[in-house]
Amino acid sequence: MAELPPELSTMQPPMQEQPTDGFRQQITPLTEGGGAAGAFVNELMGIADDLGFLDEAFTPMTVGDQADIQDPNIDPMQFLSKEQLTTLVNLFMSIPEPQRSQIGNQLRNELPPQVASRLDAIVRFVQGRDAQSQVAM
Amino acid sequence: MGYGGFIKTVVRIAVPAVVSMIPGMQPLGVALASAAATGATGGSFKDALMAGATSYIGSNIARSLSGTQAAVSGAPPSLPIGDGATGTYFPSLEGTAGTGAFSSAPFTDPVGLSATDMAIGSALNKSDEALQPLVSKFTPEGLDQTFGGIKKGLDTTFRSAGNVLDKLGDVVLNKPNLSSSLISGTLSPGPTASLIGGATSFTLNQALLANTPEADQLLADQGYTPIQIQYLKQEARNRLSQGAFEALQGSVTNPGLAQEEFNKILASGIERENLALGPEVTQQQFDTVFDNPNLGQNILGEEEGLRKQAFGQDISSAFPGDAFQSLDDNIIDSIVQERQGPAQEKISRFSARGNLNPTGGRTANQFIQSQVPQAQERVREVGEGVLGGYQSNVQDVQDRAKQQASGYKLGDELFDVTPFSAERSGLVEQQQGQLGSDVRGALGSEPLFDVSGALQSAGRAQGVVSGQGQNQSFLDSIAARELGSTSSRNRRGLRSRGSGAF
Repeated sequence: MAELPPELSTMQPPMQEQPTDGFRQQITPLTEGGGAAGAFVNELMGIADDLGFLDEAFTPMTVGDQADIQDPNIDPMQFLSKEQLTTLVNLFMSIPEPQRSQIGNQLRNELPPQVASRLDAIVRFVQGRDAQSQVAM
Repeated sequence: MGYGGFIKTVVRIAVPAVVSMIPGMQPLGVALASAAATGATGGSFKDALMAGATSYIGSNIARSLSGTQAAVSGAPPSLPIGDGATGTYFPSLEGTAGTGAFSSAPFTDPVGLSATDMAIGSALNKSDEALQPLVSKFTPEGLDQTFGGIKKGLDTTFRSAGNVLDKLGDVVLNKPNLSSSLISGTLSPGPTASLIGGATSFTLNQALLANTPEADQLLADQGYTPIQIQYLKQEARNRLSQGAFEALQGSVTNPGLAQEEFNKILASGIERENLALGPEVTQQQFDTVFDNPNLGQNILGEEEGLRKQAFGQDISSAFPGDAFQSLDDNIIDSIVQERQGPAQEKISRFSARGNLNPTGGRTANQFIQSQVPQAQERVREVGEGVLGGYQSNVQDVQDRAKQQASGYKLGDELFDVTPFSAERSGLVEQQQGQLGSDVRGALGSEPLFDVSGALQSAGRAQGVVSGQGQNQSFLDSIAARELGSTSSRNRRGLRSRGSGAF
């Protein structure tokens, strides 16, 4: 079994509401036209809703949010479960090129470098785990 | 301890990025914009987003954006056709104050509205800032697929969904086989109308404002649906009106009104002119009205007139016609009885002196009684005169109110009918209470009953001397003969020369 990368080693079970599919289903008509990218956005917003962050994601950043982004020791995915993380990364990877790269580039450009590199590590980790799972099967 | 800043930031960046670059994500973009607007005004972003998802099929704002984006890309609009929607006219001037003349009616879409569409449109109009990060993706700048393009879009102003015309209004619509009659027809060649490669071409704005079947066909050929064309036409019209409004703001002198009130007056005046033009006009027709150098003063004059009219309505309401109740029957009866009693006392005294026999007395009283209706009518008549005087006093108050209202000028303090209304109420209350005494005073010593007539009637009834009814004519004949035989009297009088009968 693959080891969690350092970024995920301190991950705590998320303190969150029980996920429901209601919101995801509700916004599906808005995202289904986007194909894989729509499914990714649907899941991303669904997770944000599960975490109670959806409203805040579309309002100006708070001081706490900015501290999170700038803090080199922050665990980027501390609120996510492994299942959520895996689903999200897999959906992201299913976005066809070149849009996937463009989206990734925008994220990297916007996020502080250290956070962006962790994001890349997370993606690589999930991909690697999935690859190992495929081999094991 | 984290605050979720990372995941929020990923959502904040990734979602708009996907919306901006993936075809078919426009509905989400519009719903997000609407929800962001709701969130910015204190509502629930999530609820608004879910409501937008439910109603997006009917959202013509999505259609408009989609259609406009399609115009840029050359592809036909991809969204399904729903019902209509509206763009609020002069969004920054919403709200009403004072008289009805201040209100600016929404410029509604003739194709019909749903409540949700209205709400979304309203939300889009009301929160520019919240829309910028999302809706700007649909502008040509926003279509820049680099992150820099998106960031640049954050700085753009986006007032309403229809403001895509700010960006796309000058986009040239090409149709190689466009009939040249389009030019020679009612389509007005604007500054960007041109001939390109032998083909007639027009900007989106020009085609929308041409309002000819040919221009509509040109738009349809670009892939716009009829409902989208109607919506865009309305937005183009709104832009013209907005331009006229801004021009008036710069050219018309504020007569001393608060700036917001002044703006509302201009906006409502433009709206009146706009509505009077009818639903479909060409830009030339529009310009003919709105290029009038006196338009601003005319609008201010109309507003002043409308306000005076409203003041007049206030006065009419405060001064209904019948200020006083008519003279009550009890008062009339009371006054009549006050006069009837003394009349009957005179007859009684006359009778007590032996001047009337029972027949005469009864006849006289009957005569008085028969005069009661006439006396009542007279009292009523006098009462009406008194009430007329009262009404005249009230009229004086009303006239003063009218005079003050008619002197109103824009910039003055608004006319208030309240003090005049209070004065009227006080006057009515006071004078209504003294009506009885005033009628008595107006009557003065005027006799309501004819006592002399009653006695004459009694005299005729009882005869010259007393006697039973059946003997009266006989006795009167004797009495008359006595009075008429002077020679016999002389013969028998004390001064007669002979002893006569004695």
